[in-house]
Amino acid sequence: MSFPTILLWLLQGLGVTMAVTALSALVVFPFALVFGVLEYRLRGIPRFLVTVFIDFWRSSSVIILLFFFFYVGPAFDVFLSAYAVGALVIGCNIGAYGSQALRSALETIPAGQKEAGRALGLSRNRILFLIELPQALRKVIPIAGNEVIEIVKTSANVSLIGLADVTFKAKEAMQASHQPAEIYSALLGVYIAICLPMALAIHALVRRGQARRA
Amino acid sequence: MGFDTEYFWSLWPAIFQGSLMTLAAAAAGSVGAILVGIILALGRRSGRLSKIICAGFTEAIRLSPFLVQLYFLYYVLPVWGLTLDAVTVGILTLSIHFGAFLGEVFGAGIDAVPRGQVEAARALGLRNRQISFLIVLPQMLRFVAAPTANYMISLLKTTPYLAVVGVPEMLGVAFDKASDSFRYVEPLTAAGILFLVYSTIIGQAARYVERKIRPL
Repeated sequence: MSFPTILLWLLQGLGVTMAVTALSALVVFPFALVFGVLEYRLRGIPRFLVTVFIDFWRSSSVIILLFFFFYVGPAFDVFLSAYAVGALVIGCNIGAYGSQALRSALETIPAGQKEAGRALGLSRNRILFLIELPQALRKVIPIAGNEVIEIVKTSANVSLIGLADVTFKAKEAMQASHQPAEIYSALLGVYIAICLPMALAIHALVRRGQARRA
Repeated sequence: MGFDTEYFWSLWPAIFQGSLMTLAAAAAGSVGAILVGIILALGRRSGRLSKIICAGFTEAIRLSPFLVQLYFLYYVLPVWGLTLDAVTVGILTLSIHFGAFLGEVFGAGIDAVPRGQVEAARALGLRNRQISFLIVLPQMLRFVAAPTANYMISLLKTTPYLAVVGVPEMLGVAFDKASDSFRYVEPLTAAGILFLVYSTIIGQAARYVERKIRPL
C-alpha cells in the first residue's frame, strides 16, 4: 500500500475516535465540576467518601478498568455498549484528575474574596457559586484544554474492546499489508495532527492570559 | 454467570507472580525514564539543533497515545533490524514516554534554582563541576521530587499496557487465565484489586516523600 492509501485507511476510524472523545468529554467535565466542588465544599465523613471515590478512579489503570467493566458487566446481566464502557471509564478517570485541578484552583482563591462575600451578607453557597467558582473556572481553562488532549490520546484504548477507531484501523491495515513502519508512523501522525493544534491553542491562551495580567 | 469465589482465590498465586513482573517493569521503566528525562533536559539547553530535535521529540511523544508508541516500537524496531523481546520493548516505551514528560520537569527544576546561587558559588571560587553537583543539582532535586513521584505513579498505572504485546505481567496473566477458563470476571477482579493496592501504597509513599523533600 502507498502512504496516502494507508492514511485514508486509518482516517476511516476518525469518526469513531471523535465520537468516543466527545462521549468521554460529556462525562469528564460534569464529573470534574461536581466532585471538585463537593470535595472543596464538604467536610468530615461526606468529604472523605468523595475523596475515596475520586481516588478510586485516579488510582486505577484505565486499561484494567476498561476490560473490567467490559467483561464483568455481562456476567451480572449489565449489558453496556463498548461506547458506553469507553466513555464511562475514560470519562471518570480523566474527570477525577480534573476534579483535583478544580479543587486546588478553588483553594487558591484569596480568602479576602470569601470574606468580602460574607461582609455583603451572602450565604456560604452563594459565595461559592457566585464568587469562588467563576474565578476558579477561569483558572482551569488551560487545564480543561489539556484534558481534551488527554481524552483523545486515551480514546486509543477503545480499540482493545473492539471499537474501530484509528488505532483499530491500523491493526486492520497491518493484517492487509505488513508495513509496520509506514502504518504506525501514519498513526502517530494522525494523533499528533489532532492534538498539536489544540496544544498550540492552549499555549496561546495561556500566554494571552499572562500578558493581560502583566 | 455470577462470581465464583473458589476460582477467584485459586488465581491469586499466578496474579501475584504476574504483579512482580509489573513492578519490575515499572521500576526499570522509571530508571530509564529518569535517564531519558535528563538527556532531554540537557539536550534542550545545548546547541540550537539539539534544542530543536529534543523539543520536537518531546512534543511528538506528549501528543500521541502510549498504546500507539508501544505498537510502533514493537512492530517497527524489527523492521529496522532491532529485534527485542516484548518486555524490553515495553520498558523502552515506558522510558521514552515518561522520559519526555520528565525532561520538562527537570528543565523547569534547573530554571527554578535562583541565579544568585550559581553566582555566589562562583564568587567563592567553586569549579563548574562543583557548582553543578554541589549547588544546582541538590536544590533542583527538591523542586522536581514531587512531580517526578507523580509521574512514577502514572508510569505504574501505564505498565499493564505491556500485556497488549504479550508481556506476562498481571493483566496479561489475568487474560491468560480468562482465556483458559472463559471466565473473565474473577481474573480481572483479582488483577484490579491487587493493582489498586499497589498504586495506593506507592501513592502514599509518594505523598510522604513530597512532604519530606519540599522546596525550601
